[in-house]
Amino acid sequence: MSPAPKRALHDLTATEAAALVRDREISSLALVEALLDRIARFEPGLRSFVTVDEEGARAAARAADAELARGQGRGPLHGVPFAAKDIYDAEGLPTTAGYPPLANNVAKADSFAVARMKAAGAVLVGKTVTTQFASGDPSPTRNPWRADRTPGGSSSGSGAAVAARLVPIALGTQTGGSILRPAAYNGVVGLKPTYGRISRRGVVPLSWTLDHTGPIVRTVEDAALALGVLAGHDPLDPRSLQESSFDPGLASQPLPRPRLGLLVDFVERADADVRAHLDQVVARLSEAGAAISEIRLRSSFDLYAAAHRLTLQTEAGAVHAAWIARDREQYSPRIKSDAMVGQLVPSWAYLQAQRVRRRLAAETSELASAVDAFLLPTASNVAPGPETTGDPSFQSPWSLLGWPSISLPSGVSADGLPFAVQLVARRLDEATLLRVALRVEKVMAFTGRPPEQAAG
Amino acid sequence: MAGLRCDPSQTTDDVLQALERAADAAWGASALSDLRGSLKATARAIWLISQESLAPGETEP
Repeated sequence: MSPAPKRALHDLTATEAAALVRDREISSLALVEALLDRIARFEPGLRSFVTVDEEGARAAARAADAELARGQGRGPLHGVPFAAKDIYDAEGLPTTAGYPPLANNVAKADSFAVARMKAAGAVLVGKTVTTQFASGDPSPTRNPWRADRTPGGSSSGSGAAVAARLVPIALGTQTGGSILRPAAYNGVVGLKPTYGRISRRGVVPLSWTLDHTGPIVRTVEDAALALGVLAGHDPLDPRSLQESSFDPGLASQPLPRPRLGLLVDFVERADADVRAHLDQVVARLSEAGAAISEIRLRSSFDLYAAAHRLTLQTEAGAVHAAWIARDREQYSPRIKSDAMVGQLVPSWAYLQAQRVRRRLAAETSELASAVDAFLLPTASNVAPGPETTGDPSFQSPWSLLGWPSISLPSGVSADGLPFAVQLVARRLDEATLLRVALRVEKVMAFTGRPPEQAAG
Repeated sequence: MAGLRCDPSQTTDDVLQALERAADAAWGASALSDLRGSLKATARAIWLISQESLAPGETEP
């Protein structure tokens, strides 16, 4: 085996790690051991994992190394460690969803996404913290940039673990803003693909027509790589798209002069420091050749939020009806009250929300026809205090419409917290989304990372 | 659910009061204080949605 790479193993992106393992310059076991050491060092303060499967990860890494020694490569993530939010089933490990009665709910099989990752050669290190049932109640996870701020939610542990260099990839889910907001607050990359692009089978539901699965990573290249592994039709998910596979090669080159629509309805609602930062982002992208035009929504910002709220709440009310009736004292306050009130929403209001949702998709699609992607802040603010998971209103419209969106870190605030920008593309156009994102990533050249001492 | 019909002339307070009555009936008066925030936000969303004019043949869910 060749000398070890110059960069620390925990700093490797998934793409870099996969190449080094494939070329046998590092072993998967060495990579896993480096990350397990780091988890042991930082996890007591960070609290991003529910379960760390040390022996399972070591066994899988040894198997991956042995396969390569025999000349057998499983796939593009061979030997690369990953984690999964604790609402994904992973065979032999508990899926608790942050709900105490599920503490011993050991999964009998892998969820579709975890199975896809393993089939591509990835090594599961453990399960990351979720807010209870992937809803809005804060989790115990801390933000690695500042321990007195939220890491966001609901994929709190996935965002924090990737930012703290505990894993290069973690699976998250998004029903409102639960992939992009933790990515933004933790200074990493989060991709929410088109609804139905990645199967939800084996993932604890919150709201059937809003639930999305996707990766949290540190580069756009890794987001494309992970999407290529995860996307694909699943006949056992009734909403899985037939044509859902994705070729990462379609997103290998940045779009040199992207046409971006700046969504001013969102910008106007952002905090002053976020607005000032976005002005700088727009200036830098324009200097780099992007054509940026201002776009106003045709319907009100609040209408998107209302349709999203009624959809989520009514569906969550139905999802949780049996458990709420039986044992609601174990529920956290926000998911409990939302699921209880969700059962009171009249059928006409839910159906009217679905009609409005379809109309919003049509009119937003017209707005998107002249641009490659929308540009907006990922969140209205930088990470707030730990009493909240933050503001989902800038991410949830894209969950409502089912359009692909991605969050990229773009700077650091005076408070030492990451800023992030969000890009949104039309349904099923992840190729353009990721090509634009590659360009934005290159122009912004973000190199920030959490201070080591804060993570601990 | 008496009073909570699709009626654009209702105010947000009308919708909230109807939801509170429904919550009282479903979950009991003791639960109302815990549900207050969610009831208010949901009432506002229902009211906003009810203001949207959609013709019978327009936009199937």
